[in-house]
Amino acid sequence: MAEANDELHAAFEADFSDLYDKGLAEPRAREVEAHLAACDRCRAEYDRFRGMLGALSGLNRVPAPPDFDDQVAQTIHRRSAGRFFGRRAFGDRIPFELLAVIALIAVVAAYWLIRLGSG
Amino acid sequence: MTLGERLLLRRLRERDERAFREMVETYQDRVYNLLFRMIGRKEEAEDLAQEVFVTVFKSIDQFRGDAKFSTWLYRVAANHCKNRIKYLSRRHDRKTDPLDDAAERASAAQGGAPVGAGHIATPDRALEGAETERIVQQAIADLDEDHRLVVVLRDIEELAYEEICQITGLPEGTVKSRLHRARLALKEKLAKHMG
Repeated sequence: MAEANDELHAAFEADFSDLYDKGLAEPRAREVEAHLAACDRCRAEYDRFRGMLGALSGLNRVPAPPDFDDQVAQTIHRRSAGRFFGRRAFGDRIPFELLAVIALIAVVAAYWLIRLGSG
Repeated sequence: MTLGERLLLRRLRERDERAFREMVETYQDRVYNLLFRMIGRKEEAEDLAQEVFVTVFKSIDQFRGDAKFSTWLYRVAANHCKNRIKYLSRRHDRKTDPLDDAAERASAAQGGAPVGAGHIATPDRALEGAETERIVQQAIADLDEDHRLVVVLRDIEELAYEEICQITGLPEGTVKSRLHRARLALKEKLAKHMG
């Protein structure tokens, strides 16, 4: 009998999170709320559950140190020897693909010019 | 993404230092708070927060914009956090100092009020607030890393489940079950302190 009761209470306790987050489907939410209204043990557990969540959400926000952005910028400058920041005309790297296409066009054009010249 | 985020992103990709500083100023407190609550130590949180922003800056081109920028930033922070926790546990360096200068700074800035209470600063209330902070932070630190992360994201950072799923890469059902187990564990840990 006691074990069956424990299982019953555990089944309601399993829904505490969803009840708190308002994520329980309506019939089950009503069932859990009715049980909480009638069961001192589960109501006390749910009050402790809500108290714990209140303590978590009430924790003070810990701000970053006042000069944090300077520290990060300095770290980046130091590690990259100043190369990280600054606008770059061609993005982050030399555009080898583009240079290869231009070189190929130049070679073909030179070939045709030579052929035309010799013809 | 909002238009403001898109513009900021474009400037970040151009390696604009002013844009980078704007981004750090916007998100530094959220990232720092997350890391402090996960790690429990001011120096580690500060060092880790720097690494997070350096990584964001180095890998900004990998951000495709299919999630909110803040979600991506949290994901970078969570990954760094996991790695640091593993590193610290390998070093057997699990000593936590849950109420160091950072928490005291926060408590003082907010009138030393106990968590969840008003903001009337009296010496007794300041002590009570600091003690509650210490107890709650210790209880969080005692959770395993996966449970700690979902609790911090949901119940301290107050993120939506959808965002937590994107940050952790877990399905919603897994997030919810982990969160429920973590909350029950915290309830038990805090029961003897909260009456």
